Amino acid sequence: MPFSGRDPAPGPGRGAGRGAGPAPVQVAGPGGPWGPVRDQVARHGSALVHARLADWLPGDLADPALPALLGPDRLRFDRMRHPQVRARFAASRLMLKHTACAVIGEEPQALELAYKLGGRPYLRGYEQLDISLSHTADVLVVGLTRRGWIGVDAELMDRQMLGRGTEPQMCTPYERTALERVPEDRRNSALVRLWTLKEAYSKAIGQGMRFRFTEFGFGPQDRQAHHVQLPDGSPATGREWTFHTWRLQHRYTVSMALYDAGFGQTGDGAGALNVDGQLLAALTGGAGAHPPH
Amino acid sequence: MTTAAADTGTDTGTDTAEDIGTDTAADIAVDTGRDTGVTAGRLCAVILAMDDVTPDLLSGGPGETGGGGLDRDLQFGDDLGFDSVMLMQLKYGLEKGFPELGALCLPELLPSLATVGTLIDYLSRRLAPAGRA
Repeated sequence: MPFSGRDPAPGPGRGAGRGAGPAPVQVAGPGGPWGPVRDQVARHGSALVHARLADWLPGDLADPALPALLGPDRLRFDRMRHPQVRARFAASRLMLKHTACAVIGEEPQALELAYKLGGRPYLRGYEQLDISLSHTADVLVVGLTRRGWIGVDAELMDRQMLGRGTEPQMCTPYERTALERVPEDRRNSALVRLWTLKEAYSKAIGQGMRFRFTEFGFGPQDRQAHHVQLPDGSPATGREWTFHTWRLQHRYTVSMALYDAGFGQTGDGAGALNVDGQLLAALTGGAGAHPPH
Repeated sequence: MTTAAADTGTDTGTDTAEDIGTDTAADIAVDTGRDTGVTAGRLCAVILAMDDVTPDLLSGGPGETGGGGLDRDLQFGDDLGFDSVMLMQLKYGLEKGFPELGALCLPELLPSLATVGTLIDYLSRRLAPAGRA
């Protein structure tokens, strides 16, 4: 069953994130502003941050300081041949690290971006802060949450997807029927929106494109998606999932899928991510721990 | 880095390339055998039919191989600029360019979409007559 891959045990706060959710925050480079990002995390446990590529592009991709900031990613960066992909790669990693640092309270150089099997990124040592990254054309998007899992995806609103063989490969039977009822002049943008929702959800569950996009769907005409649907259009997920789609920077469709596992209560970002010292000592058998029986 | 060589294309490979109107594809072959060279030529035509993929990208850079080489080490994402939408459209292109394979399954195909070389190998295995795969 494709919808149970990352199902956690029920928790007391599960489902609490349903509702308005975080409002997107635009940042203009390493200078932020980061206050609104921290505020979103404090209020919602999650944030969606977006930026223009130009605001995060290093002035010089050969800058000797860049490898230290990229960490292990520099090996991949060094061998990339496509100039735009290379530039977006560096800019997006810088933005992700600065964004996470604004919440965690660390220095960007101290954070290591690592990848799980299948390519899902995470911050080593800060796995309780789930992250997701998307970039296309000249937009960068970072999602982060400490409530569970997050996936984000961005696409140009007018990217041509209709008639390119895409619909049969990404739409459920229900979606294809529903798409045909969308006025022709809005059908391509509806397909782009569906794509971003599917990408966001599949990223959140850690599957990416290994998860067949024809086996789950969304309502093509819903103002906001409320749940994942089975191929026949019936609901497949409950209140623990929330979905949001925005039009950002006038030309991008950006979707976010958020799984509220009941982790990480809202509050100060850095404090909420720290493990209590006494608890840690007890868990590791150090000072203050009860002697073994 | 393995760079493709050129002159082993059969009628099938050349016709496919010309149908799609790419000189580069017609020039393509590889040094690992006639069948693989044909497959590479047909694959080259499919890739060049994609938006945003130029012969220069596919040959590893302007002037490096005279536009006629297919570099097996090229990565679809990092070197050719493929994103997830393009990968899905590539699958569709493969189904059109290699109709004898029938419908392809993207999750099954994904591990072979690491580099041009891994995709050539996958297609060659699938196209090989029974007993030669």
